[in-house]
Amino acid sequence: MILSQFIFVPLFAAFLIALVARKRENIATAIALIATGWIFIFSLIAFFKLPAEAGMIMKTTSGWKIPFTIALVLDHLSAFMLIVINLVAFFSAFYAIQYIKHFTGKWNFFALFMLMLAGMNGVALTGDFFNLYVFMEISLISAYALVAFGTESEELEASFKYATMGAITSTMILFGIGILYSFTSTLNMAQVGQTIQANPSNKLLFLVYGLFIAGFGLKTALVPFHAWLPDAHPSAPAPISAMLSGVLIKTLGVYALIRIFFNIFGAPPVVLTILLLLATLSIVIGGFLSLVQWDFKRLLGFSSISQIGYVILGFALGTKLGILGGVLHLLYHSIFKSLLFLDSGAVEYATGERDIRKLGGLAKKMPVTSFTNMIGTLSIAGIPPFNGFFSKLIIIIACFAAGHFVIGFIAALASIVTLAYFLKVQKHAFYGESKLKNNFEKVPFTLKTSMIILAVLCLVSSLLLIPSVRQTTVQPIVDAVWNATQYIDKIVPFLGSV
Amino acid sequence: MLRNYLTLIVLIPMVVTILNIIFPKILKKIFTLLGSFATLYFSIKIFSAQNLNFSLLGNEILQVDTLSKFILLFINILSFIILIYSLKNVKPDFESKFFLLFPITIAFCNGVTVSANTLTFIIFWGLSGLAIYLFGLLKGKPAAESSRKAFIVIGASDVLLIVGLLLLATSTNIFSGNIFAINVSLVGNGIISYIAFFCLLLAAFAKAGAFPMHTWVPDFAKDAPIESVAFLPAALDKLLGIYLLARIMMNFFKIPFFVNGIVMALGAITIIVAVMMALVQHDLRRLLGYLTVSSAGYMVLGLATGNSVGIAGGLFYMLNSAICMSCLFMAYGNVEKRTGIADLDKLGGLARRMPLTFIAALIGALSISGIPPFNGFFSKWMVYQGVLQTASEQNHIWQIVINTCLLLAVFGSALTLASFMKFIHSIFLGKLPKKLENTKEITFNNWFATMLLSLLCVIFGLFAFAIPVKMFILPILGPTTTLSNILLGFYSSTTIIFLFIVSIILGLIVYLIFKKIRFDDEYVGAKPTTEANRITGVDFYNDIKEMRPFKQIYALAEKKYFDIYNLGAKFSLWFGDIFHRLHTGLLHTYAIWTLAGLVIITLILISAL
Repeated sequence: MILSQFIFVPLFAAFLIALVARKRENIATAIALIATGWIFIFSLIAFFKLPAEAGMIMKTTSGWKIPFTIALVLDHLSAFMLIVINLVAFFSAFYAIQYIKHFTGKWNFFALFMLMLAGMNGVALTGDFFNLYVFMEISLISAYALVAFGTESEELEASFKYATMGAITSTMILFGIGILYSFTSTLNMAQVGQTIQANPSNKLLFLVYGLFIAGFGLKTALVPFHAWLPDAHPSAPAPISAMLSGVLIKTLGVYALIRIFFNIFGAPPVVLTILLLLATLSIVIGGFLSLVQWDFKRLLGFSSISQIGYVILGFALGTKLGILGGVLHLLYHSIFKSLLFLDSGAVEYATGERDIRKLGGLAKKMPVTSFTNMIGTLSIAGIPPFNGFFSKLIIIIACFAAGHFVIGFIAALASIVTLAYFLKVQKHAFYGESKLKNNFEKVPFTLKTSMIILAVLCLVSSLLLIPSVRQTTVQPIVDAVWNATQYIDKIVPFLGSV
Repeated sequence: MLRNYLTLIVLIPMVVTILNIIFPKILKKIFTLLGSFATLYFSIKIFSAQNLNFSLLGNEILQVDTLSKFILLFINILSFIILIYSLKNVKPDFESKFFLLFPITIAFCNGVTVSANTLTFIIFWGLSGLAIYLFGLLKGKPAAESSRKAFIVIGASDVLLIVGLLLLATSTNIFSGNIFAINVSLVGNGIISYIAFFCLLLAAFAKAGAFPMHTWVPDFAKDAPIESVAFLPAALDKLLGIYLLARIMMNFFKIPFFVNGIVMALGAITIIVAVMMALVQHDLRRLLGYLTVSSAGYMVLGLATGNSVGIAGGLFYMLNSAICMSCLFMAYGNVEKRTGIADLDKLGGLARRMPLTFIAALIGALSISGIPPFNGFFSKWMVYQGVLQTASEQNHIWQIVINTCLLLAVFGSALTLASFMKFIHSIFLGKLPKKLENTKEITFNNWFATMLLSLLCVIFGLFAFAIPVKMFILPILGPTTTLSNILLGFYSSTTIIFLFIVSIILGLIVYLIFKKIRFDDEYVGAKPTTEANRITGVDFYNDIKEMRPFKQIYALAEKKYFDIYNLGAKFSLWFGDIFHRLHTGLLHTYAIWTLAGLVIITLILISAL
């Protein structure tokens, strides 16, 4: 398995698009589709190849030895992230083919898209801190550009805010990495972990914890680091919103937090407690903020804050059940939130309107969008038998099982709030009185196809919970997180050989 | 798996739904009818069989006992009758979707009753709530708001159910937990068990439509398709909600008396609050909706007494109310379908045009108001006896409280009758408006289904003890329970039938002997009455609205101050607005939050050193 293809294929595609396809936009589309399809298939292959490799593949990108080379590490957690990223990326790209007609500079869009994808895949695969930072910046900078893609004043402002906030916290992360480096003299994650295990009581570490929680907390959009999200996510074109809410915050935020705090630092209890509190705050505040929104996409943005709270809550419980819930909710949220963003994009494409008060009666005009939106709504609100029900239920059960009754109760009640604001969308946009004045444009084929497939996935992905399926698919991922610093032990033999 | 009846009654309607996706309308109806008949047949089989169960993956998934067998049987009987009603005259706009939802809803409701596994129970409970929303949406715009309200309240019921069961099952595994095995004593188990109890109680209340979770019922009844109103809130949801309530009160918990007292009080409040609201409604569907809520109060009251006769009365009343209220909604549906008029002022005098519907509605109305010899009377009587018996076992203070409950219940019963006078009068009596002179009786399937339900009212009334109580209710209370050892006073329904027949014959004799009836035109001040002078029944009881304490209360109620959904929505919006205002969109504010967050987190970390 060539691990670097996950980074180089989209990177190469991005440059190819910029070089070749400037004036031939169909070629840009073709390149983007082939590249996303390719790495999506290979990410699936990688996941199912892992058991044969004892759950860990490590490759270096050159003949150099470890401190001087980029080490790529694939374990179940990163393979899982690759699947999530490339799944959403593929469908977003497919959706974008026709959606992006409303914008100029199609090739630009796809080039940036590929660059962002390369960065995210890099984050999921990298085995050292500095490359984590570099890949993170690659995807963030392309994300800033994509948020501003519409070049309206509102979009530029959102992008500027996002960039500023991102820069502040990237500095924090870089500072944290610097402290770690001064302490351990290495940037390789496993070696850092080893040094810390040998000398656990270093007080400087706590500063690193703080910097990382704040830094990656902003990428995750945990309250109080969330304020950029509701501006940035709605401003981007819909397929990019789907990517940002669906996977970017999870890769740069959740995945990085989990990888660093569980696998390198061994899940320190005080960090888990802080994450638990931040997660609960996010669930509540994000939920109530969504309730008062009228802009469809902004509502979805706030809802992402609330839902990402559930994901972090699951992990922060630190129990096996909680991690299972977190992993599942991460996957499921990426499916239904991208679906919902694509729906909102279809609505905007057809009507040119994002304010749900000005929409209405779309159920008859846009049956596919309305049906898929219904499925997305039911999934995110946690109505059985859709996927969100199971992941939320597991997280809530895990809260009670861990003795956090109050947090469990809050998480349960917040799901009523989730239901309330999505039914608000349903009522105003799809079933209410039609107040539409603009012309109505038909939703094109690729938009519909992407939405239908994601909607089907909302239902089908529930099957991951069948015990025999769970044992081979989700359980290894949970173990990869749960076994925390065994990650280091597994890498150590590789360190010697390369 | 396929030879087990318990799986069949869930699987068959699901298969029917899948078939219905593909096939044309006429086949959809046939499939649904066949499927519903099959589930009815199997539910009778299950009812007559010994207790069954079904396991999957090593866990007991499905199981029935006497209580669930009883509920299951009537879910399927009522579904079948309502299906007959829906075979024709469903609005063509949504007819084909209706026949997708109908069988799957039967599957979900059957699923709730036969579930033994905690997780399965939660899933089916949630799904049966989803059915309400989807049924409401069939009608599109006009029902959008009420469906949303219904679904949010029902969604809250799901959440409360989950939390309640989790609090009970913290030590056990919810995935393999058997709900039949739950048995917790509230005394000595701390505050957690009380919270669990009240969560489950509210979950049951939301489904059954009892105070304070009742407000979705009248709104849904007003806007949703009439078939779905007769099907879900009036019949099936009542059965399911009370099923859970009965489980809570009888199996899950050992309850200290004061909790019984609180639940009884909630029951009495439900009765009186809902019926007071029903009295002044301008919309007949809302009126029926409020009466559905009020009838839930009697069931709660009966089940909360904790003694055999009260519980038997509560369950019997649940059965009767489901039958009567479906019957009444259907009867009103007949009128609505034939006249196409929703405005009360324009209805009236339809008794001669739609005699069968009129008779059915009258029987239903008299029955639910507790007029002998119909079924409602006997069940109410049993509830009253249960309440009295409980009162007699308690100290003075409780006696006052419980007797107040009883008084409210009896008074509520009288007001129910009064509300039905309004209902019957405004549709069937009074003068027929000119526009409606050509109205004809509804098609066969509609009146047949309506009459079938009213016939059940009569049979369950005349042979109250011989058929329903003996066959369905008493087995639930245990094998040794007999009529004579639960009833305080003994009365024979046969004597009552006899008295009734005698009085009807006497009446006929009097009528035949003095057969002098004069028909006159009506006059208002020497002029014949016109349409404008018609008394419509809309304004019946408006005086109550003007009375001293009620005036303010009704004014507040109209502003939805007592609506838990509305209060919740107001609070949430207020709360959301606070945060919304904090998001000024200013970059430096956001940057300060980030830095403040970093500082606070670092402080916490340092303090943990």
